Amino acid sequence: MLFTCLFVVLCLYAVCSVIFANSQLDLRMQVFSEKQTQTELLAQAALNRCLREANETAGWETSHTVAAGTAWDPPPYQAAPMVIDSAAPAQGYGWIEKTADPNQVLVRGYCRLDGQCVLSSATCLRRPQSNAQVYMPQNQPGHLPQVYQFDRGTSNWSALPPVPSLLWRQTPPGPEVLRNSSPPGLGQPGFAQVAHFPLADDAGNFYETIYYSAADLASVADATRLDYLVRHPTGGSDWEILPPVPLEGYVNSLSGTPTLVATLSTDPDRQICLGAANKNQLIVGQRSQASGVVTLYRLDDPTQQGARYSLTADSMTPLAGATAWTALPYCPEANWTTSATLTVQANQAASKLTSLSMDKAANLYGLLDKPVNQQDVLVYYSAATGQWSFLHSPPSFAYGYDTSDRWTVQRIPEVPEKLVETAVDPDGNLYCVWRRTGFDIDSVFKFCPDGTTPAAGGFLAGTWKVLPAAPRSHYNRFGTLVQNPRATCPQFNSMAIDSTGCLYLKCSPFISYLTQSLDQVVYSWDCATGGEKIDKILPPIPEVITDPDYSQPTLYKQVNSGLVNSGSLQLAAGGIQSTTQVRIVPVSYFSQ
Amino acid sequence: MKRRAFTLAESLVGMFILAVAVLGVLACLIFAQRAERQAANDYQVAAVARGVMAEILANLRLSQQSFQVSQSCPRSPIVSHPELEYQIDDSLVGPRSKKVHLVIYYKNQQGTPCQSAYWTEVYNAIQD
Repeated sequence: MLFTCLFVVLCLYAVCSVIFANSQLDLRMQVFSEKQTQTELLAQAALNRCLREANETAGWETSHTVAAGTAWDPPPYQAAPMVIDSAAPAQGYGWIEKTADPNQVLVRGYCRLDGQCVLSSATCLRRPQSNAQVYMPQNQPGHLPQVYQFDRGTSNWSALPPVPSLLWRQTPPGPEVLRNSSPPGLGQPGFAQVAHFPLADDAGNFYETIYYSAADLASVADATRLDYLVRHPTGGSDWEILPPVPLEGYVNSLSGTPTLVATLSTDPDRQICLGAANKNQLIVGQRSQASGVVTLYRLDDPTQQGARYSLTADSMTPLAGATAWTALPYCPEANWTTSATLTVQANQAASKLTSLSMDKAANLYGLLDKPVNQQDVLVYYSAATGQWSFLHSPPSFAYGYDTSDRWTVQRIPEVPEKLVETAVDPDGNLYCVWRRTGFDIDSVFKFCPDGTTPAAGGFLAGTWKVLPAAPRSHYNRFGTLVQNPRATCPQFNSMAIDSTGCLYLKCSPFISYLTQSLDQVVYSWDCATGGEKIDKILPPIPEVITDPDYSQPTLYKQVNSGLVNSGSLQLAAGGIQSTTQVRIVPVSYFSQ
Repeated sequence: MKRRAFTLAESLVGMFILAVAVLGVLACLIFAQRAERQAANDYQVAAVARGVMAEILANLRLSQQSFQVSQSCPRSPIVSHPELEYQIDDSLVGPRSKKVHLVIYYKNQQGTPCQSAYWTEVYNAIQD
């Protein structure tokens, strides 16, 4: 009996030991979870402090950067540890680790608290310090064309001065200001009446094209052409005219390859219709209205070409550059067949190139617009090889809502036919909008190229992604934002990316039956860091009415109407990038 | 061979040893149960703290303008965990840096009021 009892007691003792050990573990875990949470938060604090110091304290980054793969325990910190919590015995360390990519770094935050150690990391990109701008030009019937400029630094909209009616004579070649009496009998205002196709680069320049009719230029027998590119540098008050684009264009022939054919200066067949700009190059497309063929021209160092016209001094100053426009190789015609293969006609220039975007390496992305029931074609021009190639179509995804009213992406059995806009971010990723036939919700896609150069006529390799949906919103005429988070923005009619990599999508005007106006908003979305929704919206645009002062050709009047602008159709974005200062921006802004 | 039965003394000693052993096991079980509850409670507090902190940081992500807006909040119950209360206090430590303090109030197994304090620092790298 005694032995039996002792055996049972031994077993019970073993059970007790296990239970007790388990309880001890639970208690230790209890302390661990609280301390662990606080240590993690302090490591994040150290990381964020590190980011702040790197971005705001000169020289901090240099003295706290280590090579890639350096052992971090003890932390390879080249200065005294940061005391990140004076009330607790917590020591925080922060440093920056280089990676193989010079534009990418790892920012580390490390904290040690009561025996707990946590290392927190954030992948960051070096971005040039940049002051971004968004432009929205508008042709206002009965008034002068207006360009609205949004400065992201101040979050304010302002109006640029009106564009002088600049043109370029043939003999002697040079710029001039047109002073017609328009409307007749009301003096001679020297301002352009129609402007389109806004462009902006990352050197602070805004470009647009001003148009004249043959009747406007009746008094100028030797005008070079009917449309001219003008530029407005940020911060300046003067507009500049660029040298005229040659009036030549590719013409398809039945035998042989397309050739450049010249036309008359007053022939309205050739008009500037699209373009793209970076700080070193300007590309514009000149379309033949008859054939639809677009001829692309490149101008190097565009900010030094043309002439500056001072409105206040009424004087023209030629700029130093003397580079001429160069025609790019024609884009070959291509069509998707019903069997999802691309048929390329290498000896035919493509018609209807309707969108153009350029990355910082001057590679071009374009869009060939096709008739109804045919699939649009995305094209790519490599600046390095001078050859055209193509992109596969985006995947068939569209936005929808799940049972919890959260937006989702749904695969649908439909081929993306109508692509309406393209834009390229500073990292060379392409964005485009798919407009579903018969539906009023556009899908926005991002294409990330894999960095390889495709062969001529081949396909650019990369992956497609779908961007988040944008909740439906609009400003009414009095500037009040009206949002419907349960609905998705129906259509985007313009897209642009600024010098910081922020994508802007302009929602198609929403017809307000109450105010009898077209209300619209511009969404912004950061390409590098993204977000769950495209729900940041720029402030409303105060409407400005610009009229000439007929008493003096160089004077004008700009009046704020007190309402919100609602008639702009196109969007451009750019900014001024610093060549010396950079910011370190986490791929996810907050590392949690 | 005839087997001898247990004597009374033997039975009493055996029962006493067994009783002591069983009481020890019961005490262990009670202790373990309390410890488990306490651990679960503290886990929940830490998890809630992480969730609240993540929500604060998500709010701060919106823009530079929202970053400037204080996220401070007086002591209030947490909707999803009515037995817990939280208090937020934040302060700008620079134009783009903010220190966020979070305190979670709760009661332990004995009903004694307790609190867990957390803080972190955030940096807004968004270039508005």
